[in-house]
Amino acid sequence: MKSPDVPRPKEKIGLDVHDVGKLHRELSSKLFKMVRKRDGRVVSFDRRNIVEAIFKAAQSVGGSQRSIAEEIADEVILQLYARQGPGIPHVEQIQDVIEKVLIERGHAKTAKAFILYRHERAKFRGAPKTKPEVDAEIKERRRRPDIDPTELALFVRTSGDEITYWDKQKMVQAMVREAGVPETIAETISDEVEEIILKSKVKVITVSLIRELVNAKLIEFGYEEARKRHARLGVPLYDAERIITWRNRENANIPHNPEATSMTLAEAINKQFGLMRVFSQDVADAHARGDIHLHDLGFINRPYCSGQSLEYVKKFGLHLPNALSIAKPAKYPETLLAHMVKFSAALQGHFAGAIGWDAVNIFFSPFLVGLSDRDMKQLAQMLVFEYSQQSVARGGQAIFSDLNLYWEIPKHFERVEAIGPGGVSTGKTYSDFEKEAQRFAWALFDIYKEGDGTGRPFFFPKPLVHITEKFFSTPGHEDFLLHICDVAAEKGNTYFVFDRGETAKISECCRLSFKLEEADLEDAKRPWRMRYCALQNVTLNLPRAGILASGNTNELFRLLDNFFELAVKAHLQKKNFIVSLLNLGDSGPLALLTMKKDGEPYLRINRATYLIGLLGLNELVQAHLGKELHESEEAFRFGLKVVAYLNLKAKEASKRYGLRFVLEQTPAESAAYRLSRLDLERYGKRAEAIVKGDPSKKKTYYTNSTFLNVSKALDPIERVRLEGKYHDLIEAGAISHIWIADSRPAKESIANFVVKTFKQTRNAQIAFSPEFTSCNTCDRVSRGLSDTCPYCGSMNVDGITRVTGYFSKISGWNDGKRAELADRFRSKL
Amino acid sequence: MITVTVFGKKDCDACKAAIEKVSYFTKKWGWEARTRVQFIDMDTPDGLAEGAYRDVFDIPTVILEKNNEELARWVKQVPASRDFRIYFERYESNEKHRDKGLH
Ligand SMILES: [Zn+2]
Repeated sequence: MKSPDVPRPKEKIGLDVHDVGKLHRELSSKLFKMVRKRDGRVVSFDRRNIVEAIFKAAQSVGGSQRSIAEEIADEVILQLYARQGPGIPHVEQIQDVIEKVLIERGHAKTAKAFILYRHERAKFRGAPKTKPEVDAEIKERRRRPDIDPTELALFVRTSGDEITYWDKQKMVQAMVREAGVPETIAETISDEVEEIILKSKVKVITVSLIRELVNAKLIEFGYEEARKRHARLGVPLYDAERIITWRNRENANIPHNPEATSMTLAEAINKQFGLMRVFSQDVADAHARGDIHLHDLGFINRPYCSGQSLEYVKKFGLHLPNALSIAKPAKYPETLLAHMVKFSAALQGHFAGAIGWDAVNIFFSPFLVGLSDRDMKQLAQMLVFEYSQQSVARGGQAIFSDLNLYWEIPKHFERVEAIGPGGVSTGKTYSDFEKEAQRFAWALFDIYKEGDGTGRPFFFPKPLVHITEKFFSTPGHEDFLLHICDVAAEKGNTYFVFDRGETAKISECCRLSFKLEEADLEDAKRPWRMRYCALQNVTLNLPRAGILASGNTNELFRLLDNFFELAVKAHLQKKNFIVSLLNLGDSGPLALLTMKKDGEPYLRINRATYLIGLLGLNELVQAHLGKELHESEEAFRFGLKVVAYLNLKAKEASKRYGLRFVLEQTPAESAAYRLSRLDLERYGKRAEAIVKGDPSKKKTYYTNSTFLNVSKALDPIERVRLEGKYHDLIEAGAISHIWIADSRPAKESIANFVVKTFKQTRNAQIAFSPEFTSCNTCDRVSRGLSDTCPYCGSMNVDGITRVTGYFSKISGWNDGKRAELADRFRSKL
Repeated sequence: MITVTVFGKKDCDACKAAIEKVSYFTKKWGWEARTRVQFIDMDTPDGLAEGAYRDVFDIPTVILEKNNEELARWVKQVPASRDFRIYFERYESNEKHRDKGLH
């Protein structure tokens, strides 16, 4: 836009007053074409509005000469131009100048009235427009149609919140700089895009639209790769509004509040970024197609899940990079507890999944000497409530947390030097604190048994009791077993983890546990080093391989190879990305994970695990042999063969890359639903024959990991025995669920069941899941799922049970999981 | 028929020793014809699956069966000859009993 030649307003130019006024008027009505309103919109500039505002203020203090207002308005416009040149003035700037000119010209009273008026208006600003206001505005627009658009300059709304002039060169720069398009091509494209925009006669265009127009041209010119690099990430307005307004059902652990919706919006962009930049096209496409499922893409900028050691916090205090304050090692149990919870919250911001803590009661024990029963219980209560009510962490989510507990001091910790208050050695070993450790574990289960303030089960932290061979020779184990079985019957919280033989395990995630290997056992001597992480989780869509193989076994294994290699490739790409972020060290986003308090980075990447998730083995076998796992020995054995095959492939890949690939039971909360839907869409009848749930209503799911059909009325111990045969092949840990629903088995029956499972099966972990109805009207909790509260009849109730690896409200579940819930066979035990 | 199954891996010396030992003694005791000695390679999908089905994960594991009924199992060890000899002897005496009964 050319700027008109304008004399400086205060220059003497040898004309009389009248002429000067006329000249001013002529000039002032030409200087500005647009003005920016407070809401960011740019509208056409109208000198009359300024005159009107000044005259109104003058009238309110008795003034009556419109001509003075006219003169002042012209002066205002000229001063404004002198001050800031030909850009678009903001309404606020104009008002500032009006005040200044009024005062300079000696109209103090009018100035005061104007200021007052301005402030009055400011009060109402931001309030939504009323219907009559809107109607009036529309009417006004019709009355004064804007000037012919071709006469207007083209404005561009930037991705910031500003409006700038159309500048073709910016398009060229972006194409060259971001996407490496040759400059001559970029020039040509920008010419063509400009033509399209000018022809359209729009007045204001957004940069995102320009970018898409350029992208369309890039495709037309055959620059597909460049187009990808030039892409813009974001969500459609419609989606953003839905996310901001409605509950997210992708993950039952996400509450519905502003923090959570912000997280969901951020996840949308992270996901796109991951698929476009972190993963190669073939991997991203395999995910989109549903051959594999890349978990937690919304958290592409961090590792997947992790296991922590309380010893680290005891030894080093809370000393986090970029923190505002630093805490020395705790001296009191309450302080240690606070450090642990705060560190968990910090870690939750650095991992996508769970934060697990190893041997919590054992590592707490040196702090618990001499505590009364009352204080012990109080501490236990604090710990459970602090975790379960931390809905201020990432995205307003509770911290997805696991407490690993032991009755016995497991062999690998027996002779380990116990760290005490102040982070110094007690001079004793953990065996010397067995009593304290046991009392604390007991107290924790007292709290779980009571439930929250209304008697609901705690959703988090999850208590995992590890049972090693030594458990059965440790005094008091019978009573403790009954105690935790009581909780299992009453509230369902207890996870029974079986560490048979010499293997020690650490659980990290929903259902991930890791067998401690040689090097890990070496770490156990200095337990603060026991920090583990799974870098990423990639699930194979097993049923799809079954569908596509059409009964041909060679083809089936070829497809599995295919999916497996894609998963491995995805892992390598994610690892490269995370390592590049870690390499930024202190100034990178993962600074917390690079801190080196004990000489090693907090995140020990060389110890990372790469998870290959299994989903829908049951449906794979069903598609391939026409029978589900539980329906014939042949089917069951074939399932084992598939998992054994993948187990060996993981070992082979581990050797090939020097990385630890292991199979995992996918926590398929959304994947079980998503992949079944994708297969239904692609393969119609062939998928319909195997998906579970109701295909006609699109409420379908695949059976989780290597589980047997959930609806099959199997004797629970038989289910646990059969499912357990898969568990040794799944090195990252596995579980069997026993849905006890509204029944309430005796604690003795559960205890028997647990011992039987340990001694007679290979099952790695079991949990019992009751169902609850929690009333929001009378705050009481009843057993079983019902639509109304049995106490007060209210319909305002929440159903609660385990979704996959944790408790949550059923209202937050996706349709697939709800279908599974309806199918679950409920056992009386 | 007695079946002795050794679950192992090709590069595992103890597994090899178990196979050789069982074969050597059955031959020595004159049981060769009535005994089947088999090796299950846990480094193959079929072998690993068979192991999982039979709750075998440590190697070597030696399982002694008669007519598909498991009589004894040695985990992570090569059984001493006297330990598995008793099963052969028992089988032999049972057969003798049966023979007597028939005549
Ligand atoms: Zn009620």
